[in-house]
Amino acid sequence: MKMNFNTMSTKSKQYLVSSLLALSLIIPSIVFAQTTAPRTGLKSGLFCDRISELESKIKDRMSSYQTKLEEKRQERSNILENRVNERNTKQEDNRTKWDANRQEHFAKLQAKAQTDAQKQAVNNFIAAVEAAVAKRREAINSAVLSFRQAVDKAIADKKAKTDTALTEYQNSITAAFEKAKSDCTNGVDPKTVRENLLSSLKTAREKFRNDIQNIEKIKNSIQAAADQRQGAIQKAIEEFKLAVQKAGQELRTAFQNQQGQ
Amino acid sequence: MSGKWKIIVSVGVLVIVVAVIVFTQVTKRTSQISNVTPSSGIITGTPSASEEELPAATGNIDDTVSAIVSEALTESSQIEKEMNDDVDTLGLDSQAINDFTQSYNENEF
Repeated sequence: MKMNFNTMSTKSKQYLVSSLLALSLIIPSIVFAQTTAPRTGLKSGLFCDRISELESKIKDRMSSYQTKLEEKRQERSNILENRVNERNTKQEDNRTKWDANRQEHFAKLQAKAQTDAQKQAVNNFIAAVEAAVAKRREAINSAVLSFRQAVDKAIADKKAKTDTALTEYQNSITAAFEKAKSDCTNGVDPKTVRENLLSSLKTAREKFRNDIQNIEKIKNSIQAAADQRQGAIQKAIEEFKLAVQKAGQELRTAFQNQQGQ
Repeated sequence: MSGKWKIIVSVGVLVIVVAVIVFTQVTKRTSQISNVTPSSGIITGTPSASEEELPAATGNIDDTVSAIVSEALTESSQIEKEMNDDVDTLGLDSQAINDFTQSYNENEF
């Protein structure tokens, strides 16, 4: 139904205008009351009545953050476990394929060898290469295993240190609220109670921030462990290359000598 | 009236020219992206031995030595990447830990 102000009766118009005027007075007072409620409460001592409510709000948040933290930890654990399984399978698969490929190369060399001396030289080459491959793979396996252990240890260290920092943080929060409640009971000015509580919470938070900054440094140690293992792997690779190249050179020499005779 | 038609025709031609230019550019860009993606290796990651072509056996000593060494280099670069990925997972819970600093809001007091 469409309303028209001009067609309204005088009584209706008066009623509408009065209502609008009343609303214009009520709405600002409601908004103003919402923004000033804590101050009013503070002046009249109501802050002390809100302490338990504030404390439980903070504890609820902490509990929710704890749940999220546990989820993240579980997610990381699952990722690492799946990775280990996938990598082991993939590495085994790759090594099998490279083994087969190497045998093809060996077979071609054996087919090329005409004399007993050449055949012996090829056999020596194969033996030297197989020994070098086994040595290199052992060195890599050892470096990878050692790195995985370092990762597990770093994760366990981070968890333990984080849990300790969180317990201390939570204890500090509880202590701050207990002190505030006690002050309220003893008639301390609510304004002072509020300031002291905020100050204690701020100190606790700063300490926690400092703790987690130090905990994050564990990542540096695991990076160092990775660099160290990568160095060990590179060393094994260099030794392997030298061994294979030396065996190759001996084989080349054997073939050249036979051709020269 | 004829002046009005001149404006309409001019604007129409301009709109068609702009549309053709935009269409050409978009098509060109799409074809460039599709050309780059397969060879970039970023999306597909490091191929495993099953995905890559292994060096063919030729009976040549140099080729044999090179093939044997390339296995070692492929494996070590793969392991290096995996180790770096593992280092990164250590920070997976860092944001969740940092969230605890938001446990209280001064404005609520």
